[in-house]
Amino acid sequence: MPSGLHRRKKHENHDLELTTFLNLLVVLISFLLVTSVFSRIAIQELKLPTAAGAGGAIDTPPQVTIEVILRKNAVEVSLSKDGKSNIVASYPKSGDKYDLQKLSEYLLGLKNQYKDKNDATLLIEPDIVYEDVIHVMDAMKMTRISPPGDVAVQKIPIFSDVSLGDAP
Amino acid sequence: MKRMRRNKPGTIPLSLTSLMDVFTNLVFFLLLSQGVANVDEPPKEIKLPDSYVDVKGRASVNILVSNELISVQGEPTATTADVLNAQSDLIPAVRDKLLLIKRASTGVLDKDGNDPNQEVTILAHSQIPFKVMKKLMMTCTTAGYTKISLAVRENSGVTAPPKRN
Repeated sequence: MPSGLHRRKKHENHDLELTTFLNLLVVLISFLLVTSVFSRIAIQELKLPTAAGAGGAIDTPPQVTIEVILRKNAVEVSLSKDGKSNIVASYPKSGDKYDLQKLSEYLLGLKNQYKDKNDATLLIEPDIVYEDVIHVMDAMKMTRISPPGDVAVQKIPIFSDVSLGDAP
Repeated sequence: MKRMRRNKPGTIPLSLTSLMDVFTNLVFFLLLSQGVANVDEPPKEIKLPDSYVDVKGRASVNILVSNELISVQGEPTATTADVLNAQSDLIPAVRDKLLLIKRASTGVLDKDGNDPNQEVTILAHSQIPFKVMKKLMMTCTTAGYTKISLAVRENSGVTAPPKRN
């Protein structure tokens, strides 16, 4: 009995007056909830051809140029080597969508062939919708795979510097 | 407190600690998630395309492209239809506006005499034909803005990519 009395007395000593703090928190939360933005904005950086010349760091011209050509009904990969360019892969549009997964896988293969290559060019026909351009740029910059038995999605970078141009 | 309890015997004091914890966590979460936005949210009629890149936006000159209007730094400058139908790759109105902004900004020149503040972010609606974007980008480079970024809505990758086979 004496011990219980002692405990209660101690408990009363530790009571905090929380009402004002709670009011403050409620006001803060409602304010932040109203002003907060949940869709986050990121940016796709472009590497423009004009900017590359100004650097002057690269003395020798690159031997290989990788170009992805975005056409109205297909997406093609073109490889220029020693002045000759030829189309090495072509993925027709299936239904409403470009086959970006296959494109990414092919580009990843190219990346493994030319390890130190970081730039690629995207050539676009004028009537392509902007959204598709962004998606193809995504596919050129990275591939996303989920390993079997793993929920997490891995991003594997491919060509981080993408420049844009007109399709021939 | 003591008097309240004495007035009403048998009332149980509220345990507010867990509620406070939740609130405090919420406040920190909201404060942190707010601090990262550098690019302003575009108006409702502009729906940015989704992308998986995670490069955060930087403060720069903004160009908004909706279905009807092209605005530079919030000021309507040209109509999208005009740009779409124009023959030349240069949009004079946008170029003049960009040059005006460039002249007004008292940027510090770097050692080569160039203005380092040459960045422009284009926030465009996802259904815009690329032709318009190309003309805009050409105009930006002509006006001296050589670093062009395209704003996208960050897709955090919650939706799984198609399985490999």
